[in-house]
Amino acid sequence: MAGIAVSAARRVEAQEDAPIDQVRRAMKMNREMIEKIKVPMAVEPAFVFKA
Amino acid sequence: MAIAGEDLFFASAASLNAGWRKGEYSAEELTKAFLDRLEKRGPEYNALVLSLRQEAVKRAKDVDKERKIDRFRSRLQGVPFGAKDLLAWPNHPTTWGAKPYATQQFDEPATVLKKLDNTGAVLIGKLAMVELAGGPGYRYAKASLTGPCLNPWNKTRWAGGSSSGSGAAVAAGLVGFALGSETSGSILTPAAFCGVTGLRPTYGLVSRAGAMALSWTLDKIGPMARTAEDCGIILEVISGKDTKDPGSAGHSFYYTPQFAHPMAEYTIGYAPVDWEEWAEPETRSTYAAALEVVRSLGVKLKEVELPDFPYGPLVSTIMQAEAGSIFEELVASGKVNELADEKQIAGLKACGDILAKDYLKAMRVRRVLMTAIADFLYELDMIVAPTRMGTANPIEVALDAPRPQAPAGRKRGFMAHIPAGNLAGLPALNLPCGLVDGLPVGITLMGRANMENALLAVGKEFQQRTNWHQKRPALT
Repeated sequence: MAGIAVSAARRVEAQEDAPIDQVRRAMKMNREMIEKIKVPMAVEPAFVFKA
Repeated sequence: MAIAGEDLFFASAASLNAGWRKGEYSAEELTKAFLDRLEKRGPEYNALVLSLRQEAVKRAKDVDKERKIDRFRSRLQGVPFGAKDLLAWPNHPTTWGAKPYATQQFDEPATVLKKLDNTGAVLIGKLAMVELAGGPGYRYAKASLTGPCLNPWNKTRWAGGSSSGSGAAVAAGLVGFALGSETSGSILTPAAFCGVTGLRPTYGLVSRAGAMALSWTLDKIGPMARTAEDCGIILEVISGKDTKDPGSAGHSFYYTPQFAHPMAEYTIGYAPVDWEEWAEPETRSTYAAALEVVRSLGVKLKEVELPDFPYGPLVSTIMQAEAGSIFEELVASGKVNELADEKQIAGLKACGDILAKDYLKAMRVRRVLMTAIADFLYELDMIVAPTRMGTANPIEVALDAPRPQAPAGRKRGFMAHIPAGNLAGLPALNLPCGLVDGLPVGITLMGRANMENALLAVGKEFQQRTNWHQKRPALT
């Protein structure tokens, strides 16, 4: 029974993980696209943000 | 005098106020009539979170007393309106559209609601929204405490998000106008899908104090109404300095249509590829006709396209990093699992994975992007593009379903005007421009920071030559 419960839990976990994995993949792709842009060292982040 | 017929429910806020001033009806009569309609129709579209009948009627009676002494406060006095349920209103729940927050209450009203109340507008209800204003992303229209918000034009379609109830309620004539909010598309999208006029103001122009935060550097609050003129009137009331909002720009907006330039003095950028290729085939003739109307205004149209930046990845990274911090406790407590949408849950959990260096890089690129867009707009007054490439999504279809690959070499045009404009904090105005298979579509005018009056002037002229903003759905 415990084994069944564990494997069921793993299945549930795997199902839960799937959307997270998708999000993480998308985040990685975003990071890679942003990394390609070269920014001069002096450019500060847009924290004090005024349009 | 009793409220008879349907026309009044589709009148502009300015007209509703004018009728009240003339004594055609009292604010109490008007408020009760809108409340009856909102309470009856709102649930049919999953657009209503909470009716505020008791205090709205009381407020309307107070407003009527002011008319008796000729105390006229604004052009919104006596006009019933609704607010997206991320805006705090005391003594009632402010749910943020999400189960974990279904019972939370705040002691102070959101600044924008207080300002509207002070000028005599009557808040009659809190309106549905996508949970947590969409958070870092969601898959289905049902990602809301109140279920999928149905489009009044066709109940098998979505009203758009995340200001879903605001769009649906204005479209169905349940409120005189509504407030929505936008982090990246949440005013423009439901405005386009529901066929209403929506204005995303310049970042910092409208206080967000008392509003749910999703992204401190992207969030904006704006009006959703029947006309460009209404949007100008509403923005004038809700704008202004607020020390309670660290993002407040410290200045107000004054709606000045009397000082609008002649149309011939406006230069508007556009990209033919948006209208001829990116737009879904069934929408192209409608969009082409709308572009012809813009041309007929006498403005100068100039072919251009957005500077090349990874707008989508930038807005996602910044939003995920900021939302990850804002909702850290929700995730840590496990209550995040009570949300309705799996992708939303996963997205919030994964937000914690964003590295500081990635957020900082995105914010540095954003600085470069802002300069590039400011340079790009230097010789333009605004750009025009289809707000969305198609009509409202069917309710059951995943919103992130893969789209067909665009042909190699297709120009980028203004496909990314929503993330681009939000990253740069620029104002944008959605104007209804036609119906495709019975569903509304809209065009967006997007301009330089603090140039709302220019957008509203062109928008008003467009609406004087078209009647798409006056169309109303056949409610069943």
